[in-house]
Amino acid sequence: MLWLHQKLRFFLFFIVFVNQSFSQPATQDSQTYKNFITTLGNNIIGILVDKKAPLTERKEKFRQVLRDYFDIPEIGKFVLARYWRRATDQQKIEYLVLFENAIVDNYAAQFDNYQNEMLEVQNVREDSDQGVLVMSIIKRQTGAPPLKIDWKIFQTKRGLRVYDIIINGVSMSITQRSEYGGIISQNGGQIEGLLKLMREGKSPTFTAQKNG
Amino acid sequence: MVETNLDNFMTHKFNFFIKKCPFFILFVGLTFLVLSPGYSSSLGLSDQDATREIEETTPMEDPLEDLNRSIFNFNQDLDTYVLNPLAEVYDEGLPDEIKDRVHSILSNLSTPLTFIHDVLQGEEEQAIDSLARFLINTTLGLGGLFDPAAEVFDIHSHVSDFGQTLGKYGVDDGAYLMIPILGPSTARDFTGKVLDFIIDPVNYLARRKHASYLVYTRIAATAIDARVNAKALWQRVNNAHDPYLTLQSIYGQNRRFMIQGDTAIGLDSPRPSEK
Repeated sequence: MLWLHQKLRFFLFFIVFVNQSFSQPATQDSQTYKNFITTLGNNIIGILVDKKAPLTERKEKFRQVLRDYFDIPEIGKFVLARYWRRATDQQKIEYLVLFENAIVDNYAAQFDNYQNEMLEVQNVREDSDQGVLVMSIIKRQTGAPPLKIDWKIFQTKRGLRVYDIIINGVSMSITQRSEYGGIISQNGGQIEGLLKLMREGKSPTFTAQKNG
Repeated sequence: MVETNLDNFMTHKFNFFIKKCPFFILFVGLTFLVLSPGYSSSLGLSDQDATREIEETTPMEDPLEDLNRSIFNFNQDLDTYVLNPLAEVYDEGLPDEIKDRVHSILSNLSTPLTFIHDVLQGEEEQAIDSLARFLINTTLGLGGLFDPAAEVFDIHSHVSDFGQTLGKYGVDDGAYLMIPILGPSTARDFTGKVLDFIIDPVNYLARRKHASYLVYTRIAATAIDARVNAKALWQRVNNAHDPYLTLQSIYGQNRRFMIQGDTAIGLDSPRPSEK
């Protein structure tokens, strides 16, 4: 009986070990990734709880966090998908500026929905494309399943950068891509229609403040 | 005499054909639309080199888009004038303490069905979680009024349903469907929803005890509770330029996530273009 037990233990150890060596980056790295997201989360929460500061100031702080932690131009290109290649250089430059503004405005409108939820970073997994997924949750009210938030990050020349936020499987970038694509195809495949909307301070993800 | 009879017969048959013909054409047309996978992907895509995007720009088959959109508009009106006001009254009018109890009870009532699907999906850990949650919350949690399973034992709730089970068995989602009142679904998920309604042990017990009103009360309470809890989601959808498209994208991605076992690994997210 004892030998069976020992054998089983070895076997289990083996499984755990093999599992970890395949799916988890080295522990040291994994801690770096976790810290990166924890710091990012704290930075954003810092802006959210600071409800007395004027909105413009909070917006600028948020923009700075976006620039420091995200690769917004690359996300912007992804969101435009195949239309990116069809755009003129001038359109590209204008679009990227408008895209960053759209993200800032979109999130700024939701600043006051914050109700002291805390981000809990859980684990780290390597993705198939050399990126890393940091998994975290936000616990909600009693009985409700926690919200699962995955952060897709890559090591770049300028350090770690976030490329996507995935909430319960819904990717911010992919959702935006279908929305931006929708506007462009409604305008006969012309990017100009999208730019016109964005110049008015609207975007496919955010056109009007309605009560919801 | 014989001739007239035959003539009559032919006319009758022809009339019959004329009468049924539109239905037949409609039927063939619909079948074609539902079955042809390339229908929506053939729209406006001419770039040869954009293969990666082609897969992604058609996240869901939506052959019935016009119909779906009109049902969606109806649902939006229903939400604006009925469901959302009710949810607002409920949310503003009651203290959190009571809303939490209601949510806990509803969540506990759905646990047996979740357990069935955990087992059908072969998800051992989740099945044990569901069983433990139900036993703990029904006893220590006073019939589900409280959620000690999560608060004391750190076993959090999760959801499983028939659509997800079918998906894990390899059934494709099929055409995107907007269901009146119920909202977004697919051919597979809606079938699952109907089956879930039938096999739900709690509903079954209620019906056996001739207390169908409990089933309906539960549905109404679940709808309001879910609306209150999904405020942020609805805000995101309603603020969008084309809410129909946004909801479709969100629904499709979330279902795919649930079927793949809650993992975003392998998702086609943006990545650095040069390393």
